[in-house]
Amino acid sequence: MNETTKVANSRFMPEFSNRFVYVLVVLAGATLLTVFTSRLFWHELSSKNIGAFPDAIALRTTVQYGIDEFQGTELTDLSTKAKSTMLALIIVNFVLAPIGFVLAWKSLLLDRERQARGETGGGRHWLRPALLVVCGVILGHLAIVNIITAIILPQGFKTMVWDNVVDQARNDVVADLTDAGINAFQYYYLPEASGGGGQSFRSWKNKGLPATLEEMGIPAKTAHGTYTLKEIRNDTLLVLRGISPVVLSIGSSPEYEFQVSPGTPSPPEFRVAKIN
Amino acid sequence: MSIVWIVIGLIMAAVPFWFFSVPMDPWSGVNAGALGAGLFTVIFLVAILRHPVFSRNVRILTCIMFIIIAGSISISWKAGYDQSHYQRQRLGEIRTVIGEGILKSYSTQAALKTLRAYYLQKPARKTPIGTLFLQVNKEWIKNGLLLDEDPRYHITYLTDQTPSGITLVSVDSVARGRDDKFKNADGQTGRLQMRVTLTEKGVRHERDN
Repeated sequence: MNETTKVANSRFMPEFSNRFVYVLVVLAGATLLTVFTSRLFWHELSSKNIGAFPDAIALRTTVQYGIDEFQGTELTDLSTKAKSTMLALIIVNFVLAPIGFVLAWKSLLLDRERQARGETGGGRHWLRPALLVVCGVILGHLAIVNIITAIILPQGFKTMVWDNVVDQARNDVVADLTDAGINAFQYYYLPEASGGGGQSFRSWKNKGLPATLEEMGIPAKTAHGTYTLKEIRNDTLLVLRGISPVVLSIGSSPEYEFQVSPGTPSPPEFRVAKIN
Repeated sequence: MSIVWIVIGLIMAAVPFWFFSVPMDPWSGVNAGALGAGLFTVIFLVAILRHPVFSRNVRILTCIMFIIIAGSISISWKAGYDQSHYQRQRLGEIRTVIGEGILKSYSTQAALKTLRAYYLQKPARKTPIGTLFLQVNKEWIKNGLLLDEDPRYHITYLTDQTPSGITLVSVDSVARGRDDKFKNADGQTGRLQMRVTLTEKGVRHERDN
């Protein structure tokens, strides 16, 4: 490259000198190394809030509060040390790193201008590139980790919400079947005069037929599912089936069977079985 | 000059962080602190990049870098905020579902057992259902409490007992109910509470809170 081309390039993009490109390469390498190393030792570091981001600490603490509430443990507010750590992370990531990076860059550019004019710069020349690299690594680490998190976390969140919808649907069907089983049990023992089966699952209106869901006070459809009477075996076992309206990824819906054994002569028994 | 910028940045991050900090909610302080710091960064960049040493190319590059970094932080920050609150709320809901199942199981079982015993009696010498409940569950009832439970988490009171029927009120001391201001039978507020009524006509269970 001759002198004329160098001058032309330098006029076109004067900031991207060879020296600056070297700094950028070192910066990129150091950032990737930091990201890689911090991910390797993630559990050890994050448990001590080292290398963590303030939002990660807030996330962990909020979930811990949920676990404490679940277990009935009394909640305790974050310690001053933990709060100070979060504030320190905000200051380092969002205040000191941008200030250090931009001011070091500006200083390097000013040095270059001074050198071009033939003036000598101040001492400690190594300090500015070093500051540029350190602050750049912090910002690069922040960018890479957050870009990855911004892609992964919302997707994981959607999966978690869907899993919970399915769990809730399963719980609702089982709860409805339990209520239906209690009604069937009562129907079995209530006398015919009170609208029961008189120790039978047969219809109180027509003894030749099995009781209907309506006669037993069981709704055939609720907001949580559709329910059918699968079978009555020897008038000692009644089997109900419930199916949720939620469609699973495999194309079918959560489905359960609920067995009611009223307990003559054996003890009463309720049993739930997952079909799908 | 850099010291002045650092001091301004510290104030813009620390003041909202401590001012908006709320006990038991780590997000309020962190969100306020990060917003203050983000605002500072914008002001700082606008002020510094005006210097003639930075060319138009550098300004554009810095703006693009800032948008990428700030955008990715905002998205992941919001996702973390939503996810943590969702998990906390969901854990509470799961606890309520578990509590409801346990309370219903304990009190309804005792009532159904009594109902079964009542209708298996000989018609000539029928003990009233309310009296029979005490006989059937005598091992479990002490001082108006149904004992076959873990009192740390749930407790069942026999609130009403006449020959014609009984009423049981069960409270889960951990699970949240529908209304935070609801006065529970055990003196707590806002906890899950179920009610089971047993008469000759059968067992009725309902959720008070």
